[in-house]
Amino acid sequence: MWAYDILNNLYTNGILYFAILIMSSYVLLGIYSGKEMAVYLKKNSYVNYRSILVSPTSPAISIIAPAYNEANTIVENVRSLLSLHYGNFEIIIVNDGSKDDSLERLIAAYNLVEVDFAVNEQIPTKAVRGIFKSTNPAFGKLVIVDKDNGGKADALNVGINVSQYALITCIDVDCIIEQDALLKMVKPYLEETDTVIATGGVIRVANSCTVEDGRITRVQLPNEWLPRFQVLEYIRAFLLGRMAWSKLNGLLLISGALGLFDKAIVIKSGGYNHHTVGEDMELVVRMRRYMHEHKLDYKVVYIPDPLCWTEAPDTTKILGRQRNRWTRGTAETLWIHRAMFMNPKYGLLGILSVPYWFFFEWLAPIIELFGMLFSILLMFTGNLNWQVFLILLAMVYTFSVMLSSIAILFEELSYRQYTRRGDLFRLFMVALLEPIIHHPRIVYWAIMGNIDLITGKKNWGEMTRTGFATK
Amino acid sequence: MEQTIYSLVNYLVLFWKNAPPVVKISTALLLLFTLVSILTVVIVIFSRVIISYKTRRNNDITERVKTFLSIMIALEEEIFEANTDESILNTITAYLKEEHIKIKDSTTRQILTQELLLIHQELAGNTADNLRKLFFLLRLDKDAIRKLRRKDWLKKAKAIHVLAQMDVIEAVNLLLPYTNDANPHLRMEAQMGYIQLHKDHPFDFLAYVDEDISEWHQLNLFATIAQNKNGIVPAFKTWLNSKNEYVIVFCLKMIGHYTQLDAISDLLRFMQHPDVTIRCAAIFALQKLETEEGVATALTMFDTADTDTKQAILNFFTEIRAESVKPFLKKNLFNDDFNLALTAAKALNNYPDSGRAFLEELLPETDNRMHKIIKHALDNRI
Repeated sequence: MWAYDILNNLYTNGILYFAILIMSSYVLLGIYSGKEMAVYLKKNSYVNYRSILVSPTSPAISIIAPAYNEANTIVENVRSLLSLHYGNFEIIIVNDGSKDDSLERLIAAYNLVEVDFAVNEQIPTKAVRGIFKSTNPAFGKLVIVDKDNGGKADALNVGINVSQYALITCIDVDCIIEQDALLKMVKPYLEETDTVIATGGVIRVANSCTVEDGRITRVQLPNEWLPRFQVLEYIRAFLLGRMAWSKLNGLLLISGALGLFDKAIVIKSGGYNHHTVGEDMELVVRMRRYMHEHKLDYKVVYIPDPLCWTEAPDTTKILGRQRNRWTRGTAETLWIHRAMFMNPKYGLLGILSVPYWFFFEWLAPIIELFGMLFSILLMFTGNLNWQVFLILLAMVYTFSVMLSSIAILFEELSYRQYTRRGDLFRLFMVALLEPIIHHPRIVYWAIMGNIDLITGKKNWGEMTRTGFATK
Repeated sequence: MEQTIYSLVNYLVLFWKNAPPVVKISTALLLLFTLVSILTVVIVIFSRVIISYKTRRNNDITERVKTFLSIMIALEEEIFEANTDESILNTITAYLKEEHIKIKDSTTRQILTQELLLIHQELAGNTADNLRKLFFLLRLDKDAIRKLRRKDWLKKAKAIHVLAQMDVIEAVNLLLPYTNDANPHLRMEAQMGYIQLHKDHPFDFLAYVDEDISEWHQLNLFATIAQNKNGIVPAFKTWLNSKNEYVIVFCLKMIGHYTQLDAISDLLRFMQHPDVTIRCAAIFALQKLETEEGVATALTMFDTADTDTKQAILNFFTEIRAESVKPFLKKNLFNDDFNLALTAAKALNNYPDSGRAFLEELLPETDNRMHKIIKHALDNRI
């Protein structure tokens, strides 16, 4: 009986204190993010990016985009990348052993011929079958690599080996990159006096937006509820948290959809890890770990500007796969780098960032599940203190609504992407409904991700996309 | 009714008195979160209304200002030529009234300044001069100078930008203290403004600036120099003795870009500087000058140099095609570092006849790695 009492006591008080801890951390990060965003917006309110664009001394960038079975969109996507506003860059498309005719379509569209390219195999990868360049000087910046299938991480590593410039941008080929994204991402490298090893920007949901010639021309809140929930999730994650982590120099994740990296450090850290499904987060953690272990000063910088638009999953099945994979990626990264956990040798990274991800990102859904299961148990045994239960539930719910409202406020005061009449109302409705409808599913997928991890599931899970609505 | 309220209050007081701490804390937080949520919604709605109102108002003013400026340009001969300042001002005031532009309103003055700046940048000759005259007659220069005294660095920086764009020469001395300001953004804007406004010694500040000049800052200074109407490009070797290493790097880049051949002896000195950034910048400047003068030093220092310097030296040799370097390049074809070997191969391929022929002859005898490197270097499509 005493065990039951302890458990019950832990349940009533423990959940409250854990919730207060999580909520305090979110509030603190939110306040810090808000302050930093105000500084960023002020600092960049009259920046002339033209000076990078036209300068012969601006750094060159290699853009690396892995592609697997993207035949339907690959030609258009490459055309969109070629039109990015930047002076000195190359685009490396890595065809990761596609089973469709992606390569043939690229060859035909861009007049490609195989060249005698010597690959500097600094990171071990699957075999490269051939490297192609265009005979048309208009596409001189384009390099196509054909290789054996080895997954996204392996394809990115091949791209790194082939790249000729000191800065690399890794992107998802099916995303829409803002025309000035490279200019904005390269600025921290030029501006900071400390070595910047990576830069990331805000990813936005493109569902229901109008796309013309590979560019977003009209931003619109998605028509369906599922992508709408994700819009709010993205706004909250990117505007409320990452800016603060960036300022604290504790950012662990740069989205795989768009990130700019110092190639030398990527190579010294060993490149992308193809044994995890969270290769984007794992790379950033490993790069940071490398810098700490070699006692080198560095920064990972985050830019709050919307730089990349992605098609969010619009079915629960696909979203479930994505969130399952994200959970596995987080858990794998935390496990691979467990030596950093609470380790003062890694500074703020070891004592704050990694524990934060462990307790509040990975462990939170598990605690939430156990809390719910225990509540059900108490309910059936007639021991549930309904007053405590309902008050706790209502408190957590109002906190979630408050956090989302603050995120909407940040969005409104900064980038104001959703300006249509009724968009604000819809966003607030999402904020009210999300904790009841969407959040339980997120917890479920996180739990399933952990189960899959324990049972040894390794695959990415197929991500079918419907494609952007183009005009 | 009173009875109901009384019992409700009683119930709540009793509830609070008897509630365990968990409930008390949770209830307090619940109320706080609800209050903040409602407040946030109100702020969002309020800010959207205010922003929409301001946007509409500013758009309206902008439209009227644009019309006014179009009239000024269309009737410039009639308005500006052969007239006294007083009569021009009277005419301008009449047109401002006609367009319902309240010139004393600070937002209107700000929009007028912005629009003037935009149009002035695009124009040259008499029209640009007349717009500048309009700027002074409306005393918009005084607004900018007043803003220089504000505490906010952004206001100061924007004011400097206006003064520089509209060529307010008498403000140049006001900018000088900011060229070494602790705020990097203000410092950069002030240096750019100083370069644009000082007609004799626009780079004076390089002699005493001891704050950082980041690469971003350098790019902007370079852009200002490239676009500067007075066209003064100084001998950048003047500041190579600066104690500020950022100034040295910037000057080395400029020496290379403007092919200032009289700085070669200084470049040779900096080739062996202990700082790798300065060392590489000096070698890169020599590469841009396409001079063979640094070859002997480069050959001597190569073996003991770090990888970055080695790469810079090989890039330098890629440009100069000096016969004395060929044996060195041939040796470095077999360098263990892939990138250095590839650069050496590319440098050899740059020698039109002998280099390429040598690589082609070597091709059948090489191992797989070297074979790939040489084939890559020989493929001009890459």
